[in-house]
Amino acid sequence: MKRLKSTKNLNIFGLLAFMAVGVGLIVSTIINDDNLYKTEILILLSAFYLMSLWDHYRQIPEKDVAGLLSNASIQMMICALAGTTATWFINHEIGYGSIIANGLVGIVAASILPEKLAGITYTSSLVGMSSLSVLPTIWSAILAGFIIGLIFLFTSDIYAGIGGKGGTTASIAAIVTKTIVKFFL
Amino acid sequence: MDVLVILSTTLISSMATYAISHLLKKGGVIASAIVTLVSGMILPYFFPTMGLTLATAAACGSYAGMISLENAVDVFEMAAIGILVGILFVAAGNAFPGIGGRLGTVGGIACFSWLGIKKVFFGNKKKNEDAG
Repeated sequence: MKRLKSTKNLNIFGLLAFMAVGVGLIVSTIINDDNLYKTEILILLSAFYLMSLWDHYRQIPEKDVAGLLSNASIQMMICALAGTTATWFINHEIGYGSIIANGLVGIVAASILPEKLAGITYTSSLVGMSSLSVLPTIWSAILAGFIIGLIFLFTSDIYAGIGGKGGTTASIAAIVTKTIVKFFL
Repeated sequence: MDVLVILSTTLISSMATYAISHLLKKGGVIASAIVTLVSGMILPYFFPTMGLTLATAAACGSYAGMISLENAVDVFEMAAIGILVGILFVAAGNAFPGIGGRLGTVGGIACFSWLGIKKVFFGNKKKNEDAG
C-alpha cells in the first residue's frame, strides 16, 4: 500500500514536471515574442497539451519501482551516463555537432543494446546535446547523466509511447544540471 | 518560404521515422537515430545557408516520429503531428537556448497536442475503428 502511494506520488511529480517544462517553453516563447498570431497558436496548443497530459496521467498504471541497487537499475544508470557523456564528447571535444553526435550514439545504442536500454541511452544522449553554456565540462555532462539516470529509475513508465517524451525528460535533467552547475561555479 | 521548407522537413522526417519504426518494424530508437544522422550529414551540405536549421527541424520531427502505434494509428495522424511539430518549431524553436532535449520537448508538445485535438474533435472514433 505504501509502495503504491509512493508510485502515485512519482506519477504526480512526472505530471507536474512535464507541465512545467512544456508550459515553460511555451510561456517563455510568448514573453519573448510580440507576434499575436504566434501567441494565439501557442496558447491553443498548450490547452490541448495540458488536457492530453491530464488525460494520460489518469491512465498511468500503478507499478512497482525497481530497487535502487538492482541489476536493472545499475544497467539503466550506466546507459544514462554513457549516452550523455559520449554525446557531449562527440559534440564538443570531437566537434561533430549535436545532431550528428545524437544520431551516432542512437545508432550504436540501438545496434548493441536491448530495446529498453537503447531507449534510455538515446534519451540520455539528448542531454549531451546541451551547449557549453549549460554543460561546460565533461564532469557536468557526467552529473547530467547521473541526474537523468535517477529520473529514469523512478519515472521510466510515465507517458511511455509518446514521441518526444524522452526530450521532455532530458530537458528536465538539463535544467536541473544547469542550476546545480551555476550554483557551484 | 523558409517556414514552408521547415514544415516540409518536419513532415518528411517525422513520417520517415514513423515508417522505419512501425512499417519496417526496426524500432523507434534506430529509426530516429538514422533520420537524425542522415539529416545532420546531408542537409547542411545541400542547403549551406539554412542547412543547420533544417537538420535541427528534422531531428525535432524524428523525435515526434517515435510515437507508438497506439497513439498514432496511421500515417495520416503522423502527418498531422509532423505539421504540428513544424508549427511549434517555427514558433518556439528559439526557446530554452542550449538546453539539450528542447527539440524533444517541442516534439512531445506536438504529440500531446495532437492527442488532445484528436480527443476533442474525433472522440474515441479512431480507436474504435482500429479495434473493430
